[in-house]
Amino acid sequence: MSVRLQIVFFLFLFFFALVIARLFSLQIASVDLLQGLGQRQRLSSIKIKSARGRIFALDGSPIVLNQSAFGVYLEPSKFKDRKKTISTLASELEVLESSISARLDETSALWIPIAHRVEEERVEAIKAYDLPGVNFIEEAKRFYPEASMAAHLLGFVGKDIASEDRGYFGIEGYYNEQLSGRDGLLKQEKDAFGNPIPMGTISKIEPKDGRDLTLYLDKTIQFIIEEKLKKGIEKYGAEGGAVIIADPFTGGILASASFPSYDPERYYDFSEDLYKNPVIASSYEPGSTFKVLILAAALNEEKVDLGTKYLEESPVTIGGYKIRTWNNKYHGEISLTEILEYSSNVGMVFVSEKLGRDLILDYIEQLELGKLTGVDLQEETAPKLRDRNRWYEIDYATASFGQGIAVTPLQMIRAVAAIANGGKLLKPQAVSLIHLEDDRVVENKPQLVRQIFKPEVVALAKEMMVSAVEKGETKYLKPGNYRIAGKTGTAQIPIAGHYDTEKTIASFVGFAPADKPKFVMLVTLDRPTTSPWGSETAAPLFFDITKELFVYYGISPS
Amino acid sequence: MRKKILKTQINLILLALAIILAAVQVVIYNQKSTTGQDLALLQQSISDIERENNRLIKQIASSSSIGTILTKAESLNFADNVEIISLDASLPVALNSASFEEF
Repeated sequence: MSVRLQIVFFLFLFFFALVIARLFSLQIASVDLLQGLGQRQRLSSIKIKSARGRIFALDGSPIVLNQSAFGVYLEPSKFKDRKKTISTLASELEVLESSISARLDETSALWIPIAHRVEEERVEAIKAYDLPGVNFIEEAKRFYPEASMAAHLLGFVGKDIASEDRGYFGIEGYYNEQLSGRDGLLKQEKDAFGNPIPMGTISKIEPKDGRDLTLYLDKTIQFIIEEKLKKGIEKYGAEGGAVIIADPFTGGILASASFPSYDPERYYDFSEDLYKNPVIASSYEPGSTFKVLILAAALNEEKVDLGTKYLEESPVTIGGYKIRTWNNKYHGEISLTEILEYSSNVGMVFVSEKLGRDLILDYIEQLELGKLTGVDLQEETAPKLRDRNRWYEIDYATASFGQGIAVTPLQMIRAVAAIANGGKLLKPQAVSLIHLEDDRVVENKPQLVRQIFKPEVVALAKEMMVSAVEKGETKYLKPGNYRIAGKTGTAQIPIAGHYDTEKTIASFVGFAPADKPKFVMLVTLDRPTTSPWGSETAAPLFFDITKELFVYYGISPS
Repeated sequence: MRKKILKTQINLILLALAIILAAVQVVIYNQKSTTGQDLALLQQSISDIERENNRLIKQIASSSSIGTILTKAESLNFADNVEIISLDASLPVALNSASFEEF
């Protein structure tokens, strides 16, 4: 009897120990796991997407906004009619049926993405077919009210390796951190039907939207230059071209266009070669436009003055190379102003010799031509300058008329803006205001790099540039009774160690009105075919744009 | 005896209170169980309104874009006029003193 009792006792003890062990496992050993599983069953976590910052023009009108869009995902196991589903999606999404089929065949995943950032209207149309196995997830998409305007300046939003939105190139790339917000999270207890339980657990991390940006960009000017540049490229048979306009007193980029370009909304349909902004990422030899800078440097160092004369009578030989004037005409004794008017290469060799080798390099360095300008755009590059000990006699001579030295269009316009604004080298800027939370605003104030030319020298250089416009090759192009300072440039293109004899980069740089400049502008045309000369291609385009800007700004003739 | 009656009354009151509170709890939980659905509808409404707002902002931006304005202006036959006419300050030939001297 006692044995049976003992057996029962030990059996009870054993089962009791089993229960205790199980309870220990459930309540102590696996508590985190089970708690998590339980929470997952009744708590729903919803990611609250933050909105990417918007981008506004100088007048406050939007240039880049956000719009609702959807990712389209397929669950093949839920298809009722695979063929119908694929053909309907192909027609609504405007893609090939074969591409959707291939996408489904190449993976055995349960959840297959087939399209991203599909517009709401299209999604509504697909929903109307009531196709099982077709799902949509909301995604943000950029909306460009002005279509592809200022594409190079703005950049675009693509995906990074984690499939998250990321800005690339231009402002989107440079200000990606500012424009990207921080997503929020809503954890909410839900009932068996998926409805939230009001008295249940709710925890919420508020999303933080990205910061809005206001640019220096004036969209009317941008529109004008894009229209004019398109027509100019066509008219002069150029392969491409660029126009950049800046405020000489703030360094703010008022407009910047270059073609060929791309559509930031459908960037993936364009060659990657088009993504970089040529205004900041391509280099060219500035040609005669560079003469104004060397001349201003020589005046600044008092190596020459208004009374300086040069006897232009024949080509000059430097280091075994013969340098001629562009039209091989020689005008006898000419002044500094006439050197600029005739765009005399030999005259500039004379000025460079007066200035001296070290000072030429000093001014090139002070103008920061071998360095990045620091503009707030992502893909800026700066053509490297040769080391000081690798400059030969001929290099100083050719640099005086803008050959053998490479600059970006932005570097060039910044240097000329220093003549327009009284001698100050400013940092160029694209963004004017950054809008923080609580309506606070950070202003990108003009940043002075250095005073490079004396104000009295700038006044002389301005007059020479005005004279170059009024008496030079462009005298019939300028609008009457306006004082415009400018200089043409025609640079040969270096190819494999020598210059292409036929193809050129034609340019014109200038500012207006000369006495109180409202804007400084650079026009470049890549390989124009109607004429290789800047005075016959880039200059007419410059004055065409200038006339419109005078009307836009309400600038009267002087 | 009086003490016993008082004790019974207190017990009855407590019992009644318990029944009333239980009933109130049932009523409240009954109400709350259906407000979850209302809350879901409200959240959906907020989402719809936000989407509608975005759509309207997009439409306004589209309608006020330079491209749209230009198209409308062209359809209304507005002409682009940027011709700058400079009036010369010099006197007409007939009034020029030098001209008078010649006559």
